[in-house]
Amino acid sequence: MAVSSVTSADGKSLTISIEGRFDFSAHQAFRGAYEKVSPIPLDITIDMSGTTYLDSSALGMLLLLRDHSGGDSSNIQLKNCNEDIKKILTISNFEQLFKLV
Amino acid sequence: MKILIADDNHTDRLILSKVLENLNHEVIQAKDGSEAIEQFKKHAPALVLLDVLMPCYDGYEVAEIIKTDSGRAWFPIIFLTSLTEASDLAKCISAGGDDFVSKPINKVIIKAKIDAFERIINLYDTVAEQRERIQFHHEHLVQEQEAAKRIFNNIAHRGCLASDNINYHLSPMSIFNGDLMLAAELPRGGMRLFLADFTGHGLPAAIGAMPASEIFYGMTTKGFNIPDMMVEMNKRLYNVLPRGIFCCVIVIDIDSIDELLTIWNAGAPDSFLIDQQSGQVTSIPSSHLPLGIQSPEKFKVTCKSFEFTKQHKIIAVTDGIIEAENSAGNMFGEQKMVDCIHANLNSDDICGALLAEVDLFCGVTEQSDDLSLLEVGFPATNSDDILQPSKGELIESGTSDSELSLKLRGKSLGNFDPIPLFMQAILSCNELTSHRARIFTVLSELYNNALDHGVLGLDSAMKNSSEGFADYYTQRIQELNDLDVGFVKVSVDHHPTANGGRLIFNITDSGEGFDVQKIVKEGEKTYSGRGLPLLIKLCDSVDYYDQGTRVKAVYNWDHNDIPE
Repeated sequence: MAVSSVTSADGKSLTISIEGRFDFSAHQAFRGAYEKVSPIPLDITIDMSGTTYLDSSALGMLLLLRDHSGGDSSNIQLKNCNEDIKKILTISNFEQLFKLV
Repeated sequence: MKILIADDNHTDRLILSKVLENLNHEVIQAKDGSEAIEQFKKHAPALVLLDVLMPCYDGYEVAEIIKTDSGRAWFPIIFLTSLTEASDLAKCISAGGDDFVSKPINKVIIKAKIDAFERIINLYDTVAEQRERIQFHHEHLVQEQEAAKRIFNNIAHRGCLASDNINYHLSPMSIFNGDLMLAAELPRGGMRLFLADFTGHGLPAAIGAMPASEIFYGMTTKGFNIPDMMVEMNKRLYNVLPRGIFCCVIVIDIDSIDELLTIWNAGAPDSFLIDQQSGQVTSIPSSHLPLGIQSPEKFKVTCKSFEFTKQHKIIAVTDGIIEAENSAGNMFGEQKMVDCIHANLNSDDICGALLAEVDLFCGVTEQSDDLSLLEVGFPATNSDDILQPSKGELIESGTSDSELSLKLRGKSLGNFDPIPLFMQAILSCNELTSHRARIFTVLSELYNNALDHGVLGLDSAMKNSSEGFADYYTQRIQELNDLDVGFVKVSVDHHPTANGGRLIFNITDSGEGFDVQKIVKEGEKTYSGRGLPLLIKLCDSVDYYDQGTRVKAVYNWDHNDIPE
C-alpha cells in the first residue's frame, strides 16, 4: 500500500492515488494526503488504477474525506476502479455520495 | 550483583573473590560441583563463574543443572578454564556456558566480561518486566471484554434466534467483530430478523450496537413497521456514530398469516430467497446506503416484498463470508457462496453447508469466527399458540372506557402507520396484554384491507402467482408514494362490560367499495383475499356497510376467558 497525492498548479484540484490494498493500514497516509492541503480544493479525485482491493474501513475513510471537503456540497470522483472495487461501492450504494468515473 | 564462584582451587577462588568484591559485587563461594549446585539454590545468584574441572560434578554437568533449575529463559554462566585446546573451549559453550575466561585470571578481562554480562542481564530483566506488565494488561483487557460481553449480551440478546426455523452462525465474541444478529416475534405472529455489520472492530462497534438493539426490540414489540423502525435507527446512529463508522444491515419481516416476506438490505451482500420446491433462487441486493451515513431528512426506506411459505427459505450474510481468506490470500468470494447454496438447496442446514465450505477453502477452522450467517425458514408456530396468558391481578385500568379515532388523508396515508398508535392506546388497558396478538391482527387486517383494496383499489387476486405477489407489493409502494387523495378513518371504541370489555372497530375508506353479496356467494376462495376467514374467527362479528366502504368488527373479551 502506498498513497501519493498531487495538487494542481492553480490549487483547485487534488488527486490522491492509492497503490495496492486500500484498507486500515492506509489510514494515516490517506488522511495526511488531504489534511496537509489547506484550503481543501473543491475538486478531489481518488485514482484507483493501482488499487487492488478496498474494504469497509476504506469506505469509512472515504466518508471522512467527504465530510472534510464539505459533506453534501463536496465533489469527489472515484476514478479507474476495478470490477471488485466497483462491486463493493455499489453494494454500499456509495454512488449516491461519490462520482464513479 | 550476586555472583557465585565455583572452583576447587582455594587460591584461585580467593583471588577471584577479592577482585570481584573490590568491584562491589557480592560473592558466594563453592569448592566443588555439588556445593555449587547447593549454593546456587540457596542464594539465587545473578551470574555463575564455573571452573571446568572440579570434584563431584564437573563444570559442564553443573552448567546443565543450573540452566534447567534457574527457571529463566536465559541464565548467564562463564567458564573458568586452564584448558587451551579450541575444542575444549568450544565445549564450554555447547555445554550451556555463555563465555569462558582463561586461567590464570586477568583482572581487566574478568571485569570487562562481568560488566558486559551485567548489561545483558539488565536488558533481560527489563524485557521480562515489560512482558509481565503487558501480560497483566492483556489479562485485564480479556476480563474487561468478558464483562462487557455479558452486559452487551443482556442488552443485545438473541431474542428468538433459537427458534426451530432458524439456523445461524455468529461468533461468541462477534460483537467485537462488529456483527449483530437479533430476532423478535412480531405482535401479530411471524418474526422480524436483523443482521448488522458495523465497520471497524472492537469497542466502537459494540457501543453503536447498543442503541440499534434497543430500538429493534422496543419498536418491534410496539408493532412499528420496518421503514419506521429503520428511520429511527438511522437517526440515532447518524447522531452517535462518528463519520467513517457506519452500519450495513439486513432486516426481514416474515408475516406468517399473509405468507409474506418483507426485506430491506442496506449495504450488505446479496440475500438469497430460496424456493425449495421449484429450485429458484432470487438474489436480493442492497438498495440503500448503510445506516449512519445519510442525514435523517434525506433518509428513505423502500422495502421489497416476496411470497414466503413453508417451501421458502431466506439466507442473509455479512461480508465476512465473502472476504474469508485462505493462506494464499485468495478470498472465498460471492460465486462460491452462490454455488454452495445451489448445491445444497434442499438441505435442512444450508448455513452448516456454507460454513463447512468456507472452512474447507480457508483450511483453518478459526476463519469462521469472523463471519455471520443467518438461514430462516417459515415460522412453525402460529401466534395464537405462543400466547402466554397474562398473570397478575386484574385491575380496571387505562383505556377500558374510551374512544379513539383518526382520519388519515392523502399523503399521510403513505407517510404514517397508525397501528402502533392504536395498539399503544388499546394496550394501556393492562387486562388486554394477553389479547395483544389477536387485537393487532384484527386491527392491521382491517386497516390494510381499507387501504389496499379500498383506497388503492388493488386486486388481491394478483397475489395468486409468485410474480403477481411481488408485483402487488411493488405496485402498493408506488401508489402509496404517489397518493394525494383519499382517506381511511379508523375508530376504536372500548366499552367496559360485566366481565371484561367490548372493542368496536369502525373503519371507513374512500374507495369504491365492493359487492359484499357477490363475494359472500363466491365462497371462501375469493374471500381469503381480504383475510376475512381469519377476522371472522377472531371477532364476534364482522359486518360491511355502505357498499363495502365501511366495516364494523366487534371483539368481546372476558377476564375469565384468556386466549389460548
